[in-house]
Amino acid sequence: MSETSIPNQRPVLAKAADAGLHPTTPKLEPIDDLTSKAGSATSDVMRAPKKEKLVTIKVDIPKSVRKSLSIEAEKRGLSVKQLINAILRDRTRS
Amino acid sequence: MPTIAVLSMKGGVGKSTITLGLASVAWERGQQALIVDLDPQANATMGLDVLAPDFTTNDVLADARPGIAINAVTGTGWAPHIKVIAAERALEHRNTNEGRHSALRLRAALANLPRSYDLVVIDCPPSLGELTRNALSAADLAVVVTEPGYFALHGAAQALEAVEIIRSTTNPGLRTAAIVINRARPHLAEQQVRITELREAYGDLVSSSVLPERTSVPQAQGAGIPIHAWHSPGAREISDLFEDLYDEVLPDLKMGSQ
Repeated sequence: MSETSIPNQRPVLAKAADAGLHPTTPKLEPIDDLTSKAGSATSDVMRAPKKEKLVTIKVDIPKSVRKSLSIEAEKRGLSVKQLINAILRDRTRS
Repeated sequence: MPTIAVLSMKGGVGKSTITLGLASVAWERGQQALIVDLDPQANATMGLDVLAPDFTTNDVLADARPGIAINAVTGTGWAPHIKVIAAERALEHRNTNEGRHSALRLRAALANLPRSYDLVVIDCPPSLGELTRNALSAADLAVVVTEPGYFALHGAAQALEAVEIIRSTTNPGLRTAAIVINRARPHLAEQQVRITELREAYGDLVSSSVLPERTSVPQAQGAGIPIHAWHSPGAREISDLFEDLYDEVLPDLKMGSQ
C-alpha cells in the first residue's frame, strides 16, 4: 500500500506565548549584566548587587519547547539563557 | 471582497454594535461574512455567541505569517455563513509596536482568504494604537462611529485623522466610507446641535442612518443573536437602519445589484 500525503497542508498556528498572561502582568526583564563596570572608586550605593556564583545544570527538554523558547526570547530581546534564567528566577521566587 | 474597519478613538460609542449590525444584515441576506475582532474586550466575539475558540486574533498577530489567519477562523452561534476570528484579553499584548512591519501583521495574516467571503468586518479597540493601525492597514473602508456628544465628536475627528495617516503611509487604497451616529436621542437639543455640527463639518460622509438608542440592541447582544432575529418594534427599526447603512457602505452587495 502506498503512502498518501496530505496536499496543501496549512501552516500550523499555535497559541501566542503570552496568551495566558493578563495584560497588566509585567514583562520579564533580562537578568543583570554579568560584567560590572564599577571600579575601586565607585560608591557601594552605585554598585550593582553582588553577583551570585553561577552553576551549570543540564536538562533535557523537547525540541518544540526549545523552539518556543527561542521565539519568545527573540520577541523579548533576550538570549535563550537569559529568558530561562528569568523564568526560573520568577518561578522560584513566587 | 471588501474589508471594513469599524473604529473610533472613544470607547463606548458602539463600534461593536455597528460591527454586529453589519454582520446581522449579512446574516439576514445569507451573505458570507467574516468578523475579525481586534478589541481585547471581545464584545463582538461575545455578541456572535462564540465559546472558547481555539485561536484568536492575539495568536494570529503574534504569528503574522502570510495567510495564517484562516487557521483561526471559527464558527459562530448565528449561522454557518457568519464566521469570526475571535478576540481575547491577551490581545492587549499586541497593542504595541513589535518591530518592522508591525502595522502590517493583520494584512499579511489575512492574505489569501477564500473568495467565498462577501465581506470582512474588523472591530477595532477604542484607541488609535497598534491594533487599530493593523486594522486600517488591512482594510479597504473605514467606518467611523460616534455619539452625538462633544467628546465623541472629538474622538471621531481623531479617528478620521488616523485614517488619513494610514492612507498616506501603509495603505493608499483606504478610504472613509461613512461616519455613523449611534445612540442618538434626537429629542435632546444638545444632540441636535452636535449632529448639525457633524454634518456641517463632514457633509455626505455622515451616514443618513442615525441609529437611535434602543433597548433591543443590548438585549439581542446579550442573547447572542442578530438584531434581525430579535422581534420587537425597536429591533425592526434598528434593523432597517442597519440595512440602509450596509447598502450605503457596500453598494456592490446591495440586494439585486449583483
